Amino acid sequence: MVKEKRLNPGEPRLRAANQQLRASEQQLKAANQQLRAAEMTAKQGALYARSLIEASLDPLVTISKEGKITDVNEATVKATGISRKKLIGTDFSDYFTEPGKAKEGYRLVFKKGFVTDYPLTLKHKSGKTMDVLYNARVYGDVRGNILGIFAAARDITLLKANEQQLRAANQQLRASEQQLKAANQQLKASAIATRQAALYARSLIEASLDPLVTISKEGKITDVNEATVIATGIFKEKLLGTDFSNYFTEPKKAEGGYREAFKKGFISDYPLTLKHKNGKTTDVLYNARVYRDMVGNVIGLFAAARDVSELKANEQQLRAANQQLRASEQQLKAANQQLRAAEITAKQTALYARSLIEASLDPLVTISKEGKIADVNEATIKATGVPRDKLIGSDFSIYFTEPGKAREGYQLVFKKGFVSDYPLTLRHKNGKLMDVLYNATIYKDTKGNVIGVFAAARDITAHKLAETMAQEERKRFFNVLETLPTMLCLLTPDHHIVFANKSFRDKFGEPGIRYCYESCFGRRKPCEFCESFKVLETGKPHRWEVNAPDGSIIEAYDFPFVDTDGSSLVLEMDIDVTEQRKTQKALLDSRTEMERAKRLTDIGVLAATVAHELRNPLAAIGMAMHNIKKKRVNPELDRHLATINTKITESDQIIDNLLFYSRLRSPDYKRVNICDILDECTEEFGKKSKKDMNLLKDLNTIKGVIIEADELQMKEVFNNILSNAQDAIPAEKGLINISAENEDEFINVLIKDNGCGIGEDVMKKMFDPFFTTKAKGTGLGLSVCKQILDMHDGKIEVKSVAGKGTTLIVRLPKKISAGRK
Amino acid sequence: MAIERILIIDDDIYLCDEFAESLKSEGYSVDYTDDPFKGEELIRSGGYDAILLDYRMPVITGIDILRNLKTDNIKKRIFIVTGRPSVEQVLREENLSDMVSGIFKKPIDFEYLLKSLNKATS
Repeated sequence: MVKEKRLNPGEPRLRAANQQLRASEQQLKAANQQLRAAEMTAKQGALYARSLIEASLDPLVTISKEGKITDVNEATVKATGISRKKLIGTDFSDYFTEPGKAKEGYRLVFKKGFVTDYPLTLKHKSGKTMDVLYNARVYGDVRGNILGIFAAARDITLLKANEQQLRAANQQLRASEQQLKAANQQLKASAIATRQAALYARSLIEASLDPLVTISKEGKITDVNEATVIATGIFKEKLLGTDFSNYFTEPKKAEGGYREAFKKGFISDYPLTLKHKNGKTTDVLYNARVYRDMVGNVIGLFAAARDVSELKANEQQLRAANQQLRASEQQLKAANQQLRAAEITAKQTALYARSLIEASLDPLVTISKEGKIADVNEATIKATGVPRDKLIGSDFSIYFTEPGKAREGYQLVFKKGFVSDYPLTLRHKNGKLMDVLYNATIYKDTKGNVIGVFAAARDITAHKLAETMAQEERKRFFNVLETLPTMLCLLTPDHHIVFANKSFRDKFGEPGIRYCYESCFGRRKPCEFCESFKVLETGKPHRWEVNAPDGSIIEAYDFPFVDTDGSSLVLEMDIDVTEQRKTQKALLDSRTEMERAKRLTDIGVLAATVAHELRNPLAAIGMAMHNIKKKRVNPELDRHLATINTKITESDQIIDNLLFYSRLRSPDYKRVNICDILDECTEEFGKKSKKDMNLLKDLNTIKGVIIEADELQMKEVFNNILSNAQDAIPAEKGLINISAENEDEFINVLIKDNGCGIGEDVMKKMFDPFFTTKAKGTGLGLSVCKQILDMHDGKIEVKSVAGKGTTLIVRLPKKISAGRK
Repeated sequence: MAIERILIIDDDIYLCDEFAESLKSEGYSVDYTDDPFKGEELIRSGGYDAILLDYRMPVITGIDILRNLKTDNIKKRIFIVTGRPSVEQVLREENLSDMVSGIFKKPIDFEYLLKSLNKATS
């Protein structure tokens, strides 16, 4: 509701003005009454009239017919500021700002008999002016003769002021009325707008497919749209006022949602599941916002649900569509790449073809059906001496000494489809001639239409020349080969020798027309060891060795060779390396010897170092033990001390065995009497032997035989063998039999025992280093014997029957070969 | 002249100690050193009746000492005590065989050593 406020601020003054106006009107009325009364009582009394007149506040005057003041009252004296005496008799109009107007005024009275509200401005002696309204009347005598005018001035200064105020007040009133009108219009307009907006909003809300609700602060539904009705399956009236959360599968979650919205002012994409009356559920996302009144207080929540299920489905479809799109894009990309690759290949092929054509030394042309040159290569330009642009388009036949023949030639191609080795003579611009052979074919387009002839010329002038030169080259080449000191031959794949130089013929004889296996090796079919023809398969040079029929060792080098006619042959170079091999072998043998010697020396040094290093601590232990023995009080200790002593001795023995191996140095070959050595060994053996046994010796066969050997090493060999024999034989009735054999260049010493024998397994390994059947053996003895005998070009053999006995045979050469010494 | 005072020169001080004790218990007066330089000095000036000299020692060997003594023509009753097998050969080659009264192999056969010492005096 719009209140009217402060409409007319001038109203009190207006009322006052009106009142004053009315008051003035009253006074005038009174004055008139007084005048009438005066008139009426004029007859009664002039004084009474006079006093009345004088009492009047309004300036009164009487004016004669000549316009002279005849009488005034006190008010007039006051208003003019002039005395009575001075006033009377003067012109009435003198006392006005506009005398003319005053004169006219009283003349009008005289004419009309009266005048009302005739405005004039009275002039005070001081200068001050007074706006007045004159009301005048003629008065006459009783007979009716006009004596003069009786005029009363009414001071309208205040009246005028009031009038202005009133006017102003009226204007303000009118302005306020205008404002009120405008305000009313605005109000009307906004009311309409508001209503329109409300209607518009409503229609939006109803039209929305999303379920929309408004929720009060208590969580109750205050409004719903059609979509909500559809989504819940419940009428609007039933929904309103009920709990918002009732319509969800998780009411607590729904409640939580709107509470949050009220707290934060909004929520976005809050997932909930809406429940239809028939049980069907819809996944939704809630977006809500508080709405307030004009003051800003929260009235409720405006919430919109977005059905996600459809959204989700759409999203999936979209994703699938996108994937398909991407796959198609990939395919397209791949196809494009292939296309590009194909384009490049096509271009390259074209370029390659062109470069081939240009690179060809033979003049190439293409000839159109009309016999004109369509294209040429560089070689054609060179051969004719005519530039490309001049050649193209000209007749093919004009460049030949016999144009007619040339024309016939290409016409033949068009007819037959090809022509080969067609002889023509090309003429260079400078006159020089070139004999050529033309080879041409027709070429067609992709549809199969004949476009033209492709012709290649083979310069046979140069060819002929080259041929002769080549032949001479070959002759020279073969001359060189013929006289080479190295053996050379050329073999055909079918085993014929098409070339053999002198050296070859000297070794293998004249081949003639025979097969190589016939003439060289005297065989009927190809030699099974032959590797000469491998090159035909591999195409690579091959080296191998063969023994010639004369016993020499041949190193053969085979190479693939292409003959002038293009056939594949084998070029073989043979070198006699017999002597070379001998020297190589000897060198190799001596190196092996040296290495072996060095190895032995290294081991020997190692063994010696270890051995005597160990002996030092053993000595200290032994000494200490001796002292303990001396000092011991408890006899029970004796046993233990004895054990220690035994083990020290044993350790010493092990070291001795090791040193035995280390002493293996290169033999110091001297001429020695083998029998003497054997005698010494057996003598020592007899002294040291612990077992009760017999030793039989028969060395008659080698009596006095001198052999080249290292004495010490020989002793070691026999000592070792004897020691082994002793270990093998039984405690009683042990028998060792030593005998010998004398050959031309060798002697054999046989040592036989009647011991337990050696099994086959043991026999295989018995000469291996570190192989032993004894608990306390180092296993070095027999391997050392073998080594020593090796160094003497000798041998050691064993023969054994398990349970019966063993014979060891030592074989020694009488002379050591030169290579060893 | 009986052997009364013995000098042992060996770089193994433990061996020296044990060796000395065992000889002392046989009635000999024994001194020892593991320093070959000191040992050589003692040989020259010590007035010992018998010297048991180790063959291989750091810096200088028994052979070196023998050589030095031979150069100064000093003759003493020296026995070489060694673990090395080929000492005789070396002595022969160095022409020092006359400087040596005997060789004892390590580990030492004590009985044999005592016997040898007795024989040496007679």
